[in-house]
Amino acid sequence: MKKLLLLAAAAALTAVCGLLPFEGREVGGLLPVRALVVGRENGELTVSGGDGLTGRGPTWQAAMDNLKATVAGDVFYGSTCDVIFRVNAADAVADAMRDNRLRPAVRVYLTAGRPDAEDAADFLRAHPGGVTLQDIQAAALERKKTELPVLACGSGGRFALYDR
Amino acid sequence: MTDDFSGRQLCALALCAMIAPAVQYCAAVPWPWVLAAAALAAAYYIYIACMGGRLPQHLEPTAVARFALGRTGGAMTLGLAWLWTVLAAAAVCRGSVSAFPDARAFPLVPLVALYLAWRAADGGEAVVCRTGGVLVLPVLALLAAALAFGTKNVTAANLVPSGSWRDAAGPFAVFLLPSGVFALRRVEKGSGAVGWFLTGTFLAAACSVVTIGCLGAPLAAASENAFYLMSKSVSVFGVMERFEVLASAALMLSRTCLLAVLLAQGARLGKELLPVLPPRGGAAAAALAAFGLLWVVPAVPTTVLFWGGVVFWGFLPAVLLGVASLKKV
Repeated sequence: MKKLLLLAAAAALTAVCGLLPFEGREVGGLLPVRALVVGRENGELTVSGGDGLTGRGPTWQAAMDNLKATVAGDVFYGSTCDVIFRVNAADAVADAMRDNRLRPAVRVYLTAGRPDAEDAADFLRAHPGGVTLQDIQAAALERKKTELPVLACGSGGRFALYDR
Repeated sequence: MTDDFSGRQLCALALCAMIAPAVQYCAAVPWPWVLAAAALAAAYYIYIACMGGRLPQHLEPTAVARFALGRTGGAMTLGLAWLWTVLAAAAVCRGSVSAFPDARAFPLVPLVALYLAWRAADGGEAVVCRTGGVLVLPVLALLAAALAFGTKNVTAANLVPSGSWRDAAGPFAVFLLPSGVFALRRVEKGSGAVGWFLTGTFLAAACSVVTIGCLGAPLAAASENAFYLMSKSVSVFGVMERFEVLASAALMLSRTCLLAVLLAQGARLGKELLPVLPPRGGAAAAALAAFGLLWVVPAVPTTVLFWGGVVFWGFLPAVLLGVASLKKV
C-alpha cells in the first residue's frame, strides 16, 4: 500500500511538473480528419479537412497550426488516409512529406478542381490511389520524380481517378 | 523463489535483450548482410563454446580474466569492462527515447527504464533472468503482430540484395550482445541455445525483410527508426492502424531488459573488483554511474559504442578464453 501511494504521488508530481512525455486528449474532443485538401487562395495556403475544419497561412506549418487553433477540440490526423493537393499548391507536397503528424502511408493526389474533403474521402476509400508520402520520400532520396495520380472532380460530387 | 536460474532462462533473457537493438540496427540493413552477420556471430559462439568447455566448470566467466592475465592484469581488464558496461548502460538508457519518437520522452522514459532495470538487477541475477524469461513472450508477440500485418505492404522489388559488406557491421555488434548476457554464467548443454540463436536470427532477418520491403532500402537507411516508420504505415482491411504503439511497447520492454542485464553485469564486475562491496551495492553503483552518464552519452560517437561492443563483448572474451585454456594445458 505504501509503495502504491508513493508511486501515485510520483506520477502526480511528474504530471504537475509537466514532465509527462505524452499529451492527454479527451476522446470525445477528437476531430478525425479522413482527407485533407490543400490549395492556395490569395497567396495563402489553405488546408481543409471537411466539416468546417479549415486552416490558412503563408506556409504549410502555419496553415496546419491555424487549423489546430481555430477549432474547438483536437484535430486527429491518425485517421487521415488521403491528401489531395490542388495544382496551385503542388509545391507543398515536400512540406507534407516532412510533417510527422501525417502517416507515411497517406496516399497523395493532384487535382485541378475544388473537391470537398469528405466526399473525396468516400470516393478514395473505394478507389485508392497508388502513391504514398513514403513513395515520394523514397523517390526524392533517389533523385527521381513521382507522378501523382490525378483526381478529377465532375458535377454533382462525382469523381474519377487517373494515373499519369 | 530460488536464487538460481536455468540455461533456458538465460537464453530467453539474451533474446529479449537483443530484440530492441536488432529492430533498430537490422531493420534498415538488407537481409543478406543480416544473415552474413548472424553466420559470423555463430562461428564466434562456436569458438567460445569450444574454448569454454576446456576450462573447469566452477570458473566463473568474470574470474577467467584473473586466471588468464594474473591478479593485476585481470583487475585492470575487469575495471575497463566495468567502465564500458556502465557507458553501454547509459547509452541503452538514453536510447530508450527512440521507442517513442513522437513524444518528449527525455528524461522521464529513460529514468523509468533505469529504475525498473535497477529494481530487477538489485534482486540478483536470478531475478533478471526471470524478468527476461517472462518478458520475452509479450515482446515476441507484439513484434510478430507488427511484422505479420506489415508483410501486406511488402514490395518484392525492394528486396533485391543491395549494399556492401560494411552493412553487416551493425547487425554483427547486435548479435554479439548475448555474449554480454552469458557473462552472467556459461550456458550449459541442453539449454537450447542454438534454437534461441536461430529465433533471434529469424527475427532480425524478418525485421529487415518487412521494413525494407515496405519502405525501400534508401528510405529505410535514411530513417532514424525505420521499423517504427514502417509500423506507422501498417493497415488492416484498408484502414491504417496504430501499430506503432505495439512497436513502442515491445522496444521499451526489450530495452529495459537489456538495461537490467547490463546493470547485473556491472554488479558482477563491481563485486569481482571490490569484494568489500555490500551484496546490493554493485547494481546500485552501476545504476548511479549510468544515471550520471545519461547527459554525457549523446556526445559519445556511435563508432566508439560500436567498437566498444566488438571489443568487450567479442574480442576480449575470445582472447581471455583462448589464453586461459592455453594456460590450463
